[in-house]
Amino acid sequence: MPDNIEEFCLKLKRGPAVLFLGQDYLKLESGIDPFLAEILKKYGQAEEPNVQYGLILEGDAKNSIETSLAWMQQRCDRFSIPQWLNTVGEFAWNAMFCSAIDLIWVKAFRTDWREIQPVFSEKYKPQNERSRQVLNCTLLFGRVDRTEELERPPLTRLEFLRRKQVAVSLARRIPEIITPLGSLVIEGYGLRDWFTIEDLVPIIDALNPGQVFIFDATEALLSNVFISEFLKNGKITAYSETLASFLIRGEELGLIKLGAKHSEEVFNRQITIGHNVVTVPLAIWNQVSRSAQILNDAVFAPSTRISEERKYYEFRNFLSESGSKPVWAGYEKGFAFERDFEGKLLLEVERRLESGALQAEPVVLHGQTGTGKTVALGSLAFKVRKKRKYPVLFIDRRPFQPNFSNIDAFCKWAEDNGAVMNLILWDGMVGGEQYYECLQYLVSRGRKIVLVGTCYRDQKARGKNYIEAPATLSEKETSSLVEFLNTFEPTLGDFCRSKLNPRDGTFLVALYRLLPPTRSGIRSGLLQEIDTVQRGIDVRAKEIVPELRDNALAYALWKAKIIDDSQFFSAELKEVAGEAMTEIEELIGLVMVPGQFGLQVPLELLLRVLKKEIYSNFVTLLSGIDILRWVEDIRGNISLGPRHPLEAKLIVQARCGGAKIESSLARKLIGEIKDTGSSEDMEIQFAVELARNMGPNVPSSTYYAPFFKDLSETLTMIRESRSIQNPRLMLQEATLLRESIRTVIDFMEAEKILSRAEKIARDAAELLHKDSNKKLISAVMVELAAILGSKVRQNIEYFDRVDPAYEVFTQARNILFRARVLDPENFYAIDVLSWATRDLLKSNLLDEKKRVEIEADVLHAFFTVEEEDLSIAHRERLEQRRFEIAEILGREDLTESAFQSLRNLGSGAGYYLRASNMIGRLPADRSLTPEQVQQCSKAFNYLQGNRSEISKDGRCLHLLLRTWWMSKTGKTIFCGERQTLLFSRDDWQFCQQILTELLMMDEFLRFPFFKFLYGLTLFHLNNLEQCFHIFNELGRETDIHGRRRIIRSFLASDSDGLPMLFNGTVTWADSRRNRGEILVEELRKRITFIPTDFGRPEIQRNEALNKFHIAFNFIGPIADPQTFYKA
Amino acid sequence: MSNPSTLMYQALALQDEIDKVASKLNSDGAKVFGSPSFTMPKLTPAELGFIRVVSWFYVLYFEIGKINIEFLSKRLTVYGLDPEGKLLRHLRNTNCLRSFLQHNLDPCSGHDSEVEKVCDDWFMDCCKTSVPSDEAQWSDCLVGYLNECIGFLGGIKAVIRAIEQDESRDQILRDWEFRRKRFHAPHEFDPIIAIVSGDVGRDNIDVDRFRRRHYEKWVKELEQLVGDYEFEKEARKRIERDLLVENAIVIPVTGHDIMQLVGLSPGPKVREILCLAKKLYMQKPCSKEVLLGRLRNELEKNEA
Repeated sequence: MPDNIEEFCLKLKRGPAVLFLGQDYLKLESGIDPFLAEILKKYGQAEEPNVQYGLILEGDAKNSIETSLAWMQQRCDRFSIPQWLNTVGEFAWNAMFCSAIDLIWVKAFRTDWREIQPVFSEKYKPQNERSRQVLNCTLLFGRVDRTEELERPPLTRLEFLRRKQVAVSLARRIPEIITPLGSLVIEGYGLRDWFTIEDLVPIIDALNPGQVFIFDATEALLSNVFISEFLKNGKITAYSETLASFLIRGEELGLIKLGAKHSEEVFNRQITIGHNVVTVPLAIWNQVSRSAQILNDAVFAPSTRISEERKYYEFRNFLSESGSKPVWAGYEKGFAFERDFEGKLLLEVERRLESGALQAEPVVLHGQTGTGKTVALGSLAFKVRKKRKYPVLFIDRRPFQPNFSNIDAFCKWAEDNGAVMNLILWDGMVGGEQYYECLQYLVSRGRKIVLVGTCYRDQKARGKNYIEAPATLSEKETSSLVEFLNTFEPTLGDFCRSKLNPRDGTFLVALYRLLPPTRSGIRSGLLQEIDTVQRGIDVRAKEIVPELRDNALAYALWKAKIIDDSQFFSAELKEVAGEAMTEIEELIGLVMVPGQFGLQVPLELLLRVLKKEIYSNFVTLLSGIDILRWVEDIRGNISLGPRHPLEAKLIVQARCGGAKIESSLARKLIGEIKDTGSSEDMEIQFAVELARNMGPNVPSSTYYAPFFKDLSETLTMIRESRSIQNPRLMLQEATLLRESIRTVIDFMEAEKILSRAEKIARDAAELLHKDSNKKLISAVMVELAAILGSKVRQNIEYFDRVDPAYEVFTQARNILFRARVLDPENFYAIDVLSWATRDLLKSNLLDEKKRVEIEADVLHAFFTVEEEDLSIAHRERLEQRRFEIAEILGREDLTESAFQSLRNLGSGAGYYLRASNMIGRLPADRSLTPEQVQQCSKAFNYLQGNRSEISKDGRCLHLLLRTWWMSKTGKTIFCGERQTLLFSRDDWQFCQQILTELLMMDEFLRFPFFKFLYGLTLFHLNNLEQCFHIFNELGRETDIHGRRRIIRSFLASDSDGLPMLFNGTVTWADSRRNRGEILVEELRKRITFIPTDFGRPEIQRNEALNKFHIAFNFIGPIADPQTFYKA
Repeated sequence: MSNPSTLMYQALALQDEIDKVASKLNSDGAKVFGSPSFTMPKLTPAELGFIRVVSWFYVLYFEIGKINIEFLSKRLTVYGLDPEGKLLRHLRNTNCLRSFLQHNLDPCSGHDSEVEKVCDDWFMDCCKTSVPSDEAQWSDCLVGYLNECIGFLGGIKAVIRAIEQDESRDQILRDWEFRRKRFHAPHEFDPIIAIVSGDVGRDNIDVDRFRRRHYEKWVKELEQLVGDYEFEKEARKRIERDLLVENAIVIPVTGHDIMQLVGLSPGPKVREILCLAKKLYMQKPCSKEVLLGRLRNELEKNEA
């Protein structure tokens, strides 16, 4: 066995590890390929002395293709998998290429922890081409279980020539998958393979020395002129032993893990929920893993005993890595230092979990970078999971938003398996609204979850659901930290106490840099040396990075020569944004600029930007730079990032020297992205997030503002020159362009820019014409409206052009109403309408009719907002907008003449404004005061008195419905749970009449809740067929989010306003899923029920269920126990 | 209910038939089970009968017939003889029941709790309780198990018959023979261990203990070899290697000392320097302090 097994195993483990399985693999073990021998026996050519796959093309198999292939497939079952191949199949490869055409190998690679994804054609490019869990197997010459010509093996010479082209083209993907980091491992390859040496040589040539390993290499193969040349220059390493023997030895030496042992630790899908140990089905596991990490039982497996040195080494490693992603083993070993806020966070989360209730608000942990939020979130996940009661999902920071439906699939599965609540921890460092959106999505599907998110420090944050991670350590925390560090080495705590400045917000991140790499280094006085050096270099450090001088991390980086202009960097210079940069400085900048926003750069993208010259030296380069980390995600994607965003930020500040270079580096990256067309394309997502973080909607927007236009132009360049037409990128492009006019002085120029932005947004909307992503369409429409709103402002402020301004405003208003119908939770639609209206009203240039019209619109828009679903920030913004509009409205009254002329034009705006003036501001979802009820009656009587005039105006009808309802019930329409309604049959009919008229209005006025109320009226008017039809439709509408979707808002009520009682028989029940259906005697209809609601989890078919209520939510009628109703 | 003795007799008859057909089919006359030397189990009382029968069939499937049963049982589904996987489950049941009845299971171990679950389910199916206690319940288990055995052996017999009729019969038989040839029972290593230990002057080595320590690893390594190999030669290589490793001396410095000396973090480098220390010590045995000094000099020399 060669000595370099360690190096080989290390390379395999690091990945990407790609296996090339040649056609000779079945021959290796016994010297006979039974599959080929049988084919040749059956279809002729068996007597040929040189048995090879090429002879199949000369035989009779082509005469009856389907029959021949079916027979061949059947043969595959007859023969055993070579024993060595079972071993090879136990390794978690990143990808596989195969020139064999049989199915025997498949059995060795399909395991309980890995799926197989065959790739037959160039047209299909897997999304996750390096996934170790879904192994992409590229079948260069097809496979016998397929019958389509593009997928089956060739059976004639001509077919072979055609397929050869495809095989070569597919194999060209190998270098791209391997990258300069990985290895190509060739086994079972011989000179008579259909994929010839001439085909293989260019692939090998595209890789670097030391990346290709050939096993079972025969003398004949090694003496090939190309191969021997590659052996000489180190591109290929060849062995006469089998790959399997290397793997077995590597496993024995503890260098790699194979098969079951691998799956136990990495892919174990077992989780304990209460007293049940359940295994997450592979399909759900793989689905969820794309978005989040499931904390399985392996996370808190007892740690093995380790030496003190190893413990220190792992602790330091924990400090290094856990700032961006949890290192679970470290929590078990007690490496996480607990900050004071964590106790509060745990209490709040446990309180919510114990409540078992649907959550209205996420918990948001906020604080500046480097305050220990990620570690705290990991610790919280670990503590909750360790009690084994609630399943936990952890979503780390990634360039793309997690897919909520994936999360939903897991939570649903967990609930079906006994989970009362799920905990979702999302270390997204995104705006609070995204957590609200996620929560609403899941809650609207009935998921009982507690969601905890992270974001930057929010000064406005208040309320129990916002918990702050303070930047500085308290006195108590400082003492605890000292004690904590002393557990690793007695002198460590003392050293830190002398260094610790409680006001230094970077200390926790700097700790890794301050600690010496070895435990023995602490004792030998290395810490002391740091102390001395610090005093000595203080002056110089101030010169280099004056703004960072009191910062522990900056010092640590300086000490590590990372933010020093040391000899570390080569002398060869490049120009970036007018500044001279070495190649390595450029590499660091390209990683650090996105890294400061928590973004990691996809490896392929980085390599494209750096071009070929750095490619061959890439691995060496990386190993020399301690500030970069490369990670392989669950899908096998490799990306590079900083150790911590805070480090990246400091490095960028110290080395990049301003927004200009940062923007220039970002543009370099964005300029090289590729679009694979996948919805989860990593590079597109990266570019979108990078542009967003350097755009106008983040706190640092003013810093990058002068370069918005440049960034937008880069996006234009890739769209126009490279045809990357991605609506999400176009949305960023338009936003950056629109906002760039803030720094443009020339009005005409600004107008041109806005027109360009408008075109981009319209093109994006056009691209999305048939897309099902309503939220994205809505966002693009809002951006388009915002551009139009800016145009309105331009027209008024600089040109005094009222009519064009009004015309543009009307377009914007229509677009916004459509955007809101597509996504009723899109608050920005209201926001844009509000500021555009404000600008237009402020101008005082509109005539009264137009003014009233737009006032009615904006008031109506405010009226339709479901405040309970808004994040705190949005609620505050809404208040501010209301205030701005109220201030303007307060200045002017509606004159009689204007009212009359609106009336003559058939507009209901005048009526709307007068009625809304009567009711003033009403609460969102609670009971009204007697005074408010009186106001509602007055407004209702006014509108009803003018019913014929307002019958065509949706705004007025909506107001009519609400004022009628509120005056009748004394409450808003949706007010708490299980409302009973004291409505007579006439009342229901009246209500239904208004709703019928509303539902016939323009589509933009149809909100789902009209449909819901309509269904409710149908039920109470005994039109059950139509009622159930309506609720079926509503139940299927997946775009309705928010808690209201599943809250049981109303109970079926009699004319006395009391809940009606029903009886029924169970028609089916599933105790595991806790769901069932009941045939209601009084209705002769089946409705849903939840067995545990009635305390009968084991209820069975045909059992009776008597005296229950029927409740209504947006999913439909549901049986509700009497005990749930509180009069 | 069938009599356990009758069922056992049926199973034995099937075992004989399988061997008969196999020996005719295989060119070398190889049987599936051969003639087991172990005695027939007594079937009463039912509880002991059950324990004995499970052990008996475990030895039959996993020791005497190991490689053949492995080869043939994989073909049960290929020939459509086990559409529901019931017969294959019998193998798993036998393995689990044997562990359950003869070992102390650890409820904290994932593997053991899985074994326990399989057995609980099996007992529940057989005698309506997962904890059989009286004679009637154990009798149900015994009868149930023997019926399973008969079903399984019937399936194996059918597989051999199907191979006999298969148009790829020759290739399949060659494959089967190849698997048999490459299977090396533990006792095959013993004479080689004795020879090697004699050759290196370690006559007193406990062959059985030494083989038990390394057998699994050797077999796994031999399985990875391709082409024809000389068993004796390959086995000897491995025995010698492991004999040498066990022979290795204990040096006075530890990995801990090395990490202290060089200021290293745990990792492959520590192993590398340990190997160097061992080499130095072998050249000239010395005390810990002296060895550390020599090691330091050597490392400085290498660095220079």
